[in-house]
Amino acid sequence: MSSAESWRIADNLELAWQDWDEDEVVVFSRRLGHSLLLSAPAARILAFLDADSPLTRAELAERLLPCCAAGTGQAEITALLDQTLPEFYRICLIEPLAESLGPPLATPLA
Amino acid sequence: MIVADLPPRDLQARLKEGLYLRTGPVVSCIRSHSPQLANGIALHYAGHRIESGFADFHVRIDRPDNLRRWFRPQVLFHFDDTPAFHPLPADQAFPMLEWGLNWCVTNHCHQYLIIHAAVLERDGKALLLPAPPGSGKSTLCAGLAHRGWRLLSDELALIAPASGHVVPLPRPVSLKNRSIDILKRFAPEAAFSPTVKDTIKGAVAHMRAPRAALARADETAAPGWIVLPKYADGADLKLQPLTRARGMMALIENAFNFDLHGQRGFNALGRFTDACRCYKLEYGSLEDAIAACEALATTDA
Amino acid sequence: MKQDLVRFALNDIRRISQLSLHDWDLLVRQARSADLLARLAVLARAAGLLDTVPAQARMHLESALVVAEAQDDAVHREVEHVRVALNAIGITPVLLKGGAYLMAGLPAAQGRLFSDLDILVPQARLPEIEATLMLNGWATTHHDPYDQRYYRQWMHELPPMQHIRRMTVLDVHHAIVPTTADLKPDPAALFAAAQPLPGHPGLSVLAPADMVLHSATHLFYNEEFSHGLRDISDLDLLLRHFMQTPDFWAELLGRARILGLMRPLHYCLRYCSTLLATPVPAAVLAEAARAQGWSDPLIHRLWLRVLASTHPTARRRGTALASLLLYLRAHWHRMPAGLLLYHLCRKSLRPRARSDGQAEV
Repeated sequence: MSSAESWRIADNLELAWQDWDEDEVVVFSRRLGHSLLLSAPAARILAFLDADSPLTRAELAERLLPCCAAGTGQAEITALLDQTLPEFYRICLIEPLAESLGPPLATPLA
Repeated sequence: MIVADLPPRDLQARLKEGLYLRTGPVVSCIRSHSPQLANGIALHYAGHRIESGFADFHVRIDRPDNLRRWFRPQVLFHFDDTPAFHPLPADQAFPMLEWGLNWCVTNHCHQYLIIHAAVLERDGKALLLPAPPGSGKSTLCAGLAHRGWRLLSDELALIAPASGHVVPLPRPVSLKNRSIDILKRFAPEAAFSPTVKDTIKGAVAHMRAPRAALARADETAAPGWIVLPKYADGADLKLQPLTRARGMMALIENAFNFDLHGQRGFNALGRFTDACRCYKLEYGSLEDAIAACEALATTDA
Repeated sequence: MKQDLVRFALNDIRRISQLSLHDWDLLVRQARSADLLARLAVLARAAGLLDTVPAQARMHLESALVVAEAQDDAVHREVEHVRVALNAIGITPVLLKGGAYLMAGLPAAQGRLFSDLDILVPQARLPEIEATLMLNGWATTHHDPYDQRYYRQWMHELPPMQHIRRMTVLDVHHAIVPTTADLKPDPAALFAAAQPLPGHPGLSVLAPADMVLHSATHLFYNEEFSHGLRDISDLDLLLRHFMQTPDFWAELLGRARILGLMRPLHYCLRYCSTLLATPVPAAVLAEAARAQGWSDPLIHRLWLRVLASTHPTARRRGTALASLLLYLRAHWHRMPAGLLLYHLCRKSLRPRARSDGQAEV
């Protein structure tokens, strides 16, 4: 996956957060009517996209670095993005900007 | 007037016309000709008040008007004259009432956030045990109710969204299979209805709520603890703190009507969890689990 | 003495101040069974009377409000899914009934509970529309070939479509009465007058007069009256809202003439004014009454029975018979005699697998 790959938050999710500064965060989407339990780093990714869409993978990685534990390297951040972005796409929270896509991702739920 | 003030014959007569029974915030008008039901009410609701004029729910448990009146008799639960469930054998009349009254609350009391959880109180704070069936929460709840915790409910935690307090619903505790014997040994002073066998849940009995549960039914409880119980035979005791996020998620996942409350419900459960300490409790013996909860109450006091 | 307290309260909501605690016990039960508990709560709140309701009864009104208000989000979501699917093939669906009331912010939507979403689309593009919906996850129900024919050939809609994941139900109409019926309002006229939904590009609703006429036709020419009181209450709220527009009554009468729906309008105006005190001008009532049929005085009493609370504490004797007679009459209007006989025979031989008791919108 390319670092130029660009993502944006899905329309009108109307997210609400419960964040106690712990390892996990709860997020609620008024439009989807669902709640999700996210790890703190995954929650950050979603929050960045909610605040400023679109963002490239490189921009996301840059914003994540200061939030992670001391000593976290690029490899770990890349792995986190590799795992999280397709999953958020699958559950219709985010969308790729078509022109930026590389290989096909798993199709989202209808 | 309370149920115990009525001699048995008068109780049966009332039940034929409609007995208006108060259980915490809810009054149910119960009509039935079933002797098992009358006995169950006389035992479990002895101290509960009888009202008149207005009932929140009108329920009737009687034999269906067909051949099953005579052959392997059944009973049918009606909500406001409409059957709500499939019929059950006549000896299950009292468990059917209990399941039916729970159904009434979960389907019609949406002014509350209703969590599928056992809930008890100590020093004004609520201990919630949210859990799906099979987690052992009823056994633990029944045990705690006899070791210094006030029972609010064994099944339904009613949270008032505005105040964030839990509202008591004092009713008998439903026990299944092995739990029945465990509790009879653990709390020999408690009153139990006769065990009904061969229900879809197995053998079922009800344990009368301790006196304090009824005497203080008007006292709500502030948020205190969210504890996810997990019973496994012979397991070692393990009490682990959980993130509040996980505690909140447990409430959401076990809520009957979260989807009806939407954003407001999310905020209300967030505020509730904010005031709670959250734990996961794995245990193999009732005494261990109770001791662990006791320790929580003492350290967090 | 049996009393229909729901009709009593809907006629003038201020009357609830007269009710005793026992009356409230009956009213809550009657309203709940008529799916009108939330509506009563909304009306009481709008009149500033909610706090005067005894606490025990108020709990039920508040619970009903929670349920009704939750629907808002759910319906918006579902409508959006439908819009996206159909706009993609250049179709602007016309929302009907409850979905329309809610998306258009009409008072008739408040406190109303419903499950199915109803839309009107052009008949000429029906195959394409059905295919697109299926591609987007909606599946047809009623797989029995007879049922399929019933809907497609004889009625005015596709068999209800259910979304495989969301489990929501969509009723796709191409006309507002069955193809076989004796009333023949031209769908083209409805489409021509349909209005874009403000704030929601890609969606339309019927013109106000048409909305009333559709609802009236649905109630007075449909076979089911389990929601008779609720449906007449919807009409009352629609009329009270739209009559604030100048020239509404003239427009309503005009459209009824063009669409050939004066008779259902006559029933609508008559029963709204009689039962719910809708302030319909006498001249308008008189004009619509000219479409009265010879049998109307005979069936008047049947309608009075059926447009009422169906709860056992309110139901008067003869209601079941009234419902049956009106059911037969509705079928008579919806199908030619030969076809009707065939249909009724079929029905009696096999139970019809309609939706699981969910309320029609």
